[in-house]
Amino acid sequence: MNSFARLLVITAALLSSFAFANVVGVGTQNFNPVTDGLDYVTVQSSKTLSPGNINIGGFLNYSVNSLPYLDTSVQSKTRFNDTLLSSDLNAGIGILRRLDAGISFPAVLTQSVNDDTGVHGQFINKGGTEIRPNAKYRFLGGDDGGVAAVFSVNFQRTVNDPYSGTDAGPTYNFELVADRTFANRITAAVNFGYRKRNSGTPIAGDIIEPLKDQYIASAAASYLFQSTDTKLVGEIFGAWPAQSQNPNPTRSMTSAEMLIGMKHDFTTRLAAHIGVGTELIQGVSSPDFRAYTGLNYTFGPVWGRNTVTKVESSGVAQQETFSVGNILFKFDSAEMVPGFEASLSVLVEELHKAPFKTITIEGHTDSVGKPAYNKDLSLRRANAIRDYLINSANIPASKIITYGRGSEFPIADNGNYQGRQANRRVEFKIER
Amino acid sequence: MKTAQIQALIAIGFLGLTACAPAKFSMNGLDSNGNPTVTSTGGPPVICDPFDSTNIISATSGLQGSIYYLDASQPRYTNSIDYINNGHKVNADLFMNSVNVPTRIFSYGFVTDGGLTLVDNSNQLLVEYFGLKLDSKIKLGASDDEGDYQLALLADDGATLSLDDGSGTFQQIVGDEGEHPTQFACASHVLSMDRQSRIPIDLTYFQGPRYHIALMMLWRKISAPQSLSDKECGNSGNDYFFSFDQTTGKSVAQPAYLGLLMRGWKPLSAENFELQSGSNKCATTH
Repeated sequence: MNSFARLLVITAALLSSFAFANVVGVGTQNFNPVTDGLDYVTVQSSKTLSPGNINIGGFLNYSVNSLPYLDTSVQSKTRFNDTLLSSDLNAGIGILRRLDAGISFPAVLTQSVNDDTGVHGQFINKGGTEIRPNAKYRFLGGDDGGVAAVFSVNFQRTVNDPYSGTDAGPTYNFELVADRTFANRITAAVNFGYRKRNSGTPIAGDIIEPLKDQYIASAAASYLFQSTDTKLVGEIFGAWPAQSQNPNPTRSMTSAEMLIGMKHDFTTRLAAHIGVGTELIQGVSSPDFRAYTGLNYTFGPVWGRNTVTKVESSGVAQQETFSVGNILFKFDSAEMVPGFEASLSVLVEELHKAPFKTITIEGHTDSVGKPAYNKDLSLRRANAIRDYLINSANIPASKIITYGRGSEFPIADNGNYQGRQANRRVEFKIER
Repeated sequence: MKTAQIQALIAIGFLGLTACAPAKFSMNGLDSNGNPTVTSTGGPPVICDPFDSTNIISATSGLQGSIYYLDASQPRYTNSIDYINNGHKVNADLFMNSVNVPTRIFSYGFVTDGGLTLVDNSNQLLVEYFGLKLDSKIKLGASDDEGDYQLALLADDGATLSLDDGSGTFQQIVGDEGEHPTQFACASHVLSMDRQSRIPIDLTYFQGPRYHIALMMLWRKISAPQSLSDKECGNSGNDYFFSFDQTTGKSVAQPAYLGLLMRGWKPLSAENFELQSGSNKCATTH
């Protein structure tokens, strides 16, 4: 077992002795989708968006019995029933190779409250509940896993949120993230963090005292069905107090939830989520039942020119490796897009700079589609570049070798659009 | 439509959708303007029996009272009379169906008919260091026999019970002050009751440190030669008369309390407490 796998196991073991938590929203909402749209639903992976890549997410979340309630006659919960339909609009953008940022705008859309006889909490005006910016820095890791730090801030918008109190300041969330990909289709991640709350004074007359600092943690796993481009996701998340405080009379101060869902990639840009969840501990704002659905739409990079770039180390003496994304070709075609010559100019310069024995052109695809088709498409693309080098760059045909590798040699996780984007590439190996 | 145009439309829609108004939350005691709602017609907020809202009561039964709390600068008194004389009176009318609160946890405080929960002037929930003063008239219920009765209190913490001696002057017949677990205190006074008897009472009580609370008013009919002493008079303990089941949230009677019942003691019920006609505001708000 390597050190990274050991780290995952140890962290998971530690988490199993606590209640789980990933509750980084305001007090009234525990379902908080991540803004990178890469791997899971509410649990962070260590991956960051590539520079210039933008993800926009829109989620709907239906929760049953998540509001605070009590019956003063028996001082216990009653059959008070409530439902909330909430939304979470979010966006993320890759800034640097290891750094991305995002922002979330959760809101309450509709609410129903039945058996309205006991003392309970509810929304009297629907609308935005908070604004939550975040940033993630991946300081360790490679293609199959890594470690990252996530920082987010809750700027409260909910008026009279009893869990925050009056005149509350922002809540700061610090999380450490570790994840790992196994066999190119199974992933696992754990998050552990601390919420530094700046709660205000209790709402006058309210029965709930504002929450103090909390520990938060979560874990997630996914399995990718490559044939259907669909990922099965399971998550567990929650929070528990880091400081002693008077107990919340309506719900446990420790919350824990789990959810299970699917993420399906319709296209390279558009993915859909759907799933259900439930509370494991009836804690603050945890629901009896939860159902969610959402979309992720991605585009970019909005900056940066995708030309042939030199791979840092090919690992083979007398060999230089270059790579370029599939922006050279039209979608699902071996026909090259206008202006492709400029993208290949770096390669042509390298070939003319010094004598070489051979140049090997390898076409690669992501895992979407049938393997035989992908292999054929990648070979046709490699051959299209060979023809260009022969006819326009005066490279002898005898020195060019082409391969269609299909999806057999991924360099990134095919479970998210960004990984698939990285896998769709052409590699050039120049042997001197 | 080109991809760039689709992306621009999505971005514009995204910005538009995120610009919604803020949400507003309430523990069902605030109206849409954030002001407390009081459903009683005029006057201060009404607090209906925080320990028992299951009985259907009439506008002529129950007890009416006041709640007192201490501010941070005041000493933590150990007598209920000190709370009444020196504490701050809450601007709310308290109504109780009866005085029948077995040993239990009290952590939720007093909730008004508007859904507000009382806090002291430091915004702390009123679950400890508060005093109660309850007034009513006691009378026989339909199943009670005429005759001589002995009264008693079962309280955690201190409590006193005073009766109008017929001249408008209240005489204390049970004094059980001090911080203590649930304690049984017996009157050394015999009360003669017939169908027409209406005896004004004044009951004071204080709750010291959280969380255990108990306040019961019991009586028993006695025969002429019967001694007023009972073997449990003066006995106390958190689990002696009742144990509190945290799981079910219920008080469970223990042998000491069951023995009291076997010897003729019983808690006064709602029909034993009479208020002036129409004065129990909880009869209409329940």
